[in-house]
Amino acid sequence: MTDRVLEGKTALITGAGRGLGRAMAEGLAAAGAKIALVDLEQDVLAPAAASVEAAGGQGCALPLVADVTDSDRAEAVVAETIAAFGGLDILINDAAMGPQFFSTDITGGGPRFWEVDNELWLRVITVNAFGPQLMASAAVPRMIERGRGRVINVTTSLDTMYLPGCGAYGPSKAALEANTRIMASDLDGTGVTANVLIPGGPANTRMITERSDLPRETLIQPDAMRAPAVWLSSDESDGVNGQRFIAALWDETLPLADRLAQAGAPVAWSQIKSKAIRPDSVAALKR
Amino acid sequence: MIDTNSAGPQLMAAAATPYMLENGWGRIVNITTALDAMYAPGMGGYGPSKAALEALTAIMARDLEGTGVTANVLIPGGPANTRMIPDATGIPRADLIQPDAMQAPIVWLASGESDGHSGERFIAAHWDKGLEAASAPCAWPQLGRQAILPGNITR
Repeated sequence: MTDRVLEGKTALITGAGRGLGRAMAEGLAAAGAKIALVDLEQDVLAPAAASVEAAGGQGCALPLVADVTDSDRAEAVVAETIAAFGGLDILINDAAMGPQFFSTDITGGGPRFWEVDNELWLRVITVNAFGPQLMASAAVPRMIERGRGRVINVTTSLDTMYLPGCGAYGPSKAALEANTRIMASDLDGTGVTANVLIPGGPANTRMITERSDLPRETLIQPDAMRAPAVWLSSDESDGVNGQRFIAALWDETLPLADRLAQAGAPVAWSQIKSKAIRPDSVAALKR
Repeated sequence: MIDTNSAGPQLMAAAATPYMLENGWGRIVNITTALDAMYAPGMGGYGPSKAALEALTAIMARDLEGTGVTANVLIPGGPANTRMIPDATGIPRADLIQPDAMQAPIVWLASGESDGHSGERFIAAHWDKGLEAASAPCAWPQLGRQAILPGNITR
């Protein structure tokens, strides 16, 4: 990526120490953005920050240790990012606890719901669903003030949300998917947008445990996230709000309209017609 | 909100299911909300917490296949005349779905008559129009296969 389309912009990426988060951090840095990398451990942040600086230039990376479920830290990392780089334009909520915390079997052969560790179940949904809500609440007011900004949430494939054997992973991502649509509605007209970006299937990260019958090269590579993340972060995606994008279907050789048609869809499950009954007096209250 | 509305049902079901499995018969009925209410703005964590419970119910149904225990969703099918819709909304109470609408479907779901029905969602407000009009699959499988999987993986 030679185009520095994100010159002058700052992104905060959670879960940036590894996997998809790190790939997006490198991609956005190569496109000229300053990057605050948030993760749990200094040990993974340091090498990630070094590779982000290798991609984007010295001084473009700010590693910050934080737990995304800690509201004080959420506020603090936003403040530290703004203090270091002068603003915050893009929030990517990538930090998540994956199915590997429950099972190493990606075909649904993990523990059944009555066999899971319920404390772990609650922790996973807290990290994956509440964490992004906390981070977005901390970051968005500043974006609204400036009249522009991006929230990009990493969820999962719609049918992985109800895949057995993965504990709270799927339900937590269903909650985040729904919340992204709520964010998009709430942000309508502000210049700030909220969208979902997913790899589109099992990706070559630690979420998918090594298996002899699963060559890593058959998985979706984290770098697939780079181009769509850069586009979503750029001014080119102005006005695109409440959409979900599948990185594996993102084809830069296609003209933009065709690319978006191939890789994009509305966020959540709105294609299914609701059977709900709402009296007129209720509909009038809808925003 | 997510603690109570999503993790609560998980905790209760994890506690109750082993007894039902021993008996070879049982019912889990989760109350979620309309699919489009899950992403309605202005209600904080309510919609997302119900989206999580909806997905969880589909997982429960899969986990329970062949055990005689079933997991389904039952919803009123719109705003109901409960404290969830405060008087301050100004909506006439008579316009809301009355809680009693839940009675017939919950009795049917709890009975032997619903044996074999699992992983479905039932809409109380449509109950008198027959099972087909009042039901749908749990979650959003109508959207079809989504994840792009390596060639040797099926799930």
